Amino acid sequence: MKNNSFRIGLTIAFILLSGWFLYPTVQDYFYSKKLREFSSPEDSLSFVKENRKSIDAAQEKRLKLGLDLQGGMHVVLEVDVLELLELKARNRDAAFDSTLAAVRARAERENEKIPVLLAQAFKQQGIRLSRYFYDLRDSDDEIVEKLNKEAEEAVNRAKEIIRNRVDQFGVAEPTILTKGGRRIIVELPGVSDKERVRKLLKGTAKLEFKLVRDPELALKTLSDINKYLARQYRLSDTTLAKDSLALARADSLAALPDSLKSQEQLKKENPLFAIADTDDGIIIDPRSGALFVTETAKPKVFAMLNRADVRERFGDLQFLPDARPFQNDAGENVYRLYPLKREAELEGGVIVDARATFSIDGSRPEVNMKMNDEGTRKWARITGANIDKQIAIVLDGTVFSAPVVKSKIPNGSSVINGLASAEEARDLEIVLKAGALPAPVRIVEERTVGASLGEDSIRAGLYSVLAGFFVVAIFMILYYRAAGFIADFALVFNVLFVIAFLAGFSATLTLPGIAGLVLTIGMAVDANVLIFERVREEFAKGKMLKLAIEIGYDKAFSAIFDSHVTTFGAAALLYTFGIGPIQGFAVTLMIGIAASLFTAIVITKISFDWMLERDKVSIVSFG
Amino acid sequence: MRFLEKANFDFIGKRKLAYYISLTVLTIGLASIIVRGFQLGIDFKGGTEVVIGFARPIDISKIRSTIYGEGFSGQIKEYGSPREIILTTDFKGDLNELQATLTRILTRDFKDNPHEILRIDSVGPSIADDLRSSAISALLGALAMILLYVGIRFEFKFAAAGVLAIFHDVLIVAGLFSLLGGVFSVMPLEVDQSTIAAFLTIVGYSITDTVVVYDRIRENIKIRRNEPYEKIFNDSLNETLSRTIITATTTLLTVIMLFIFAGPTIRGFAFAIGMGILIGTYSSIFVAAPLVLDWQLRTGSKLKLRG
Repeated sequence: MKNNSFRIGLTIAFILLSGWFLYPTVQDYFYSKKLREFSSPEDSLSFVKENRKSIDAAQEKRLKLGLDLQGGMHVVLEVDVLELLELKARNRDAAFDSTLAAVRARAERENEKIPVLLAQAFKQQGIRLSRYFYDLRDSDDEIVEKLNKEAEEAVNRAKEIIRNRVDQFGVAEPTILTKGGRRIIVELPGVSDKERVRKLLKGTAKLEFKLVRDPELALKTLSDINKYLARQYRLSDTTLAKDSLALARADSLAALPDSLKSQEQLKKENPLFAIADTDDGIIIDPRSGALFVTETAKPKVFAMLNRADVRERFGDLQFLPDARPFQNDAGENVYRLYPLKREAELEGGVIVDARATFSIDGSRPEVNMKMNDEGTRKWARITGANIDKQIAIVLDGTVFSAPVVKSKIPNGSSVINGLASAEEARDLEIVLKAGALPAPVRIVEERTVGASLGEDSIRAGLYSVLAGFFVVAIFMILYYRAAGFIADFALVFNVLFVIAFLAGFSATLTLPGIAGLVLTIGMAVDANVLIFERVREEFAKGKMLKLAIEIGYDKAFSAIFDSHVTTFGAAALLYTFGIGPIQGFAVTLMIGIAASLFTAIVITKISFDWMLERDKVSIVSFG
Repeated sequence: MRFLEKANFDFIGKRKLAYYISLTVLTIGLASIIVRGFQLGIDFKGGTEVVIGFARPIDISKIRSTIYGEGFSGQIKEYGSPREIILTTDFKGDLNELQATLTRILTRDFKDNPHEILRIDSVGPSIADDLRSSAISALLGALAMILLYVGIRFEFKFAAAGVLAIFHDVLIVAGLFSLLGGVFSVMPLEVDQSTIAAFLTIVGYSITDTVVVYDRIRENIKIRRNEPYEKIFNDSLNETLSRTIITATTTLLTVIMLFIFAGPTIRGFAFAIGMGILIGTYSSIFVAAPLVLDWQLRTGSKLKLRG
């Protein structure tokens, strides 16, 4: 029995450890139950105040439920490193744009770092990176290294900014981590307003103050571009391009006054503008010279305006749309198009505080912003120099408002209006306070589970654990009688240990994790089956009960050990390569396998010895 | 209670027949995988899945006409129960628009049957690629690890035959997924991350079963030096038979409980593991050990077992 006192000690130690691991979970359950029972908010508030420390501690250490069980969002964001590099590059030309597009397509498929891909793509064309980045004397490798570093910093900064936003939005226990070179994983338990969260995560929040240029200048530039585009299309028109005479004819036809041309002809010659009643281009208000574009024409128009060769012809001009469309008489969404000075007068970095409020008459939501000293000085100078002119407030490439400057603004304050709702104002406050992302981010993966589905899954999981346990337990008793009962007794500890160690390792319990637990129940008794079958064999050979049990345990051990190691290895690999819920499955399986090695061998052995000692003769039967 | 206690089946003698059966099933499975391929889930294909629950059972054709009428492309199917549907469509960066449109048209057309978006899963193509390569690495890694471990603990022939048996089991289950993919509405049998988890569980289960048989063979070879290998192998299979069957039974019982209670997301997973257990049990008797024996008989040297 010397051996057994060690085994018993070990078992007690494990049970105590499990209790220690599970205590916060139980505590947390009772706290939240108590909080629900309070009738008045004051009572519950004072209760929370009194017990803050232990409530927080319990919450931190309790068994955490995965997003699939408690509802919430799992979002993977990809930082657009390419866009960052694009903004950084100087002397961008058509070759640069086309290479960038090619790299973008490749980056979708591959995990290599973007600067490396970019360097490879340029190398193929015999272009050195230093043509666009850093110092002309730098070698490609040096530049790639610098760009990699910058990309990494950008991703980390983006992570911090997103964490700020999430914290301000008010999500309990968010998880935010970076993964690979350019991804950020955001897990938000319990959030229900998916649409708001998506906007909040995705918005770059790049705020700029830009001067609005004269309509005349804008019109002149646009019609130059229009002519240029029309000529380009004529050149690329295969029916014309083959025949230089026809091309010349078309050119001279284009020089005729508009009144002499057919509608079709006009359309061909004005790719950028809307002709007559058609809405497929920029619409010019003849009186004010204001520019508009319909929702349907917007992508086409901006595709033309964003071409590298077209951009060159803008000078310092830039065209940006309204943030929010209005409806025209036909009920279609129309955006105003603002001609802006490309260079921003002031950027969002100077904003130190933002506050969502309502306009003075209390009807429209708006956001008040406060600038730092430097920003205040600049803003005073800018507004002073541009009295009676329009300054556009641009957020993420769309114009929120373009108020006319009435007087110099000395106190560094500014207002964003033109917001749809108080909620939008509040979200804008959050993103402005948290700062702009260094590069745009895209959502590349999202998994959202509603709260009610989570509850259903918890119930489903609980039923399957109970059902799984009982069918196995009953089967074992039917088949092995008393020995089966002992195996079941050990199985209880197995389930307990798995749950306790999950909490102790601060792993999360997911629905696949519960499936892993159920499966563990089925497989954990395997060790006992192996042992019991051996014991039966030894009985059959005529061995005495006690000896048969000893030999049974002894002989079964090598098979149990080898099979556990291999299964554990498979689960460990699953953990390494899987994500989210699947990792949860792998973790429960691993803990379950390790625990069953202990419960099915040690705990059952103690039980047998104890029973054998009580009654010298056998009450132990093996069915 | 006990059964199969004094089992004495001639497994080894029937091994040629078993090989033929296995080869036939494998060929059918492989043919289906090559011809039909798999119904890939969005994990590996990329795309968006929206599960919508309604307060009362719903007419799927009416839902279809509403959703397709709004210009959506993709598949709409019943999901586990007549109150739930699943919409599978392409991946788009912005789910806000999709969600807003769905909410608008479903509230408009099914005013008296309120709906709720239960779950949205959206996987971009770059993520899908990552998941696919991770899945393949995990499966290959598991096989390599087992080859190494069993090779060290037993002998190379045993390890190689064990890995072949695993291939056999996983390929047949994969073949089933290919053949039956999309046939049942209660379980779509799409290949996604949880299918890979199921495959790895099958790998673990199958090798466990095989190792138990190997362990007995190892023991018997040591004790019964002068008997022919055929007899030792066959006796070992018979001696471990009741354990093999009982463990398969308890594990199958829990898998059946999972299939019944754990909801539609787990169903395909439970089906895969259940099939894996059945096939793994068969292969540990008829494939793994017989392959070692045949290999052994061909080379003719004595088995030198470690452990």
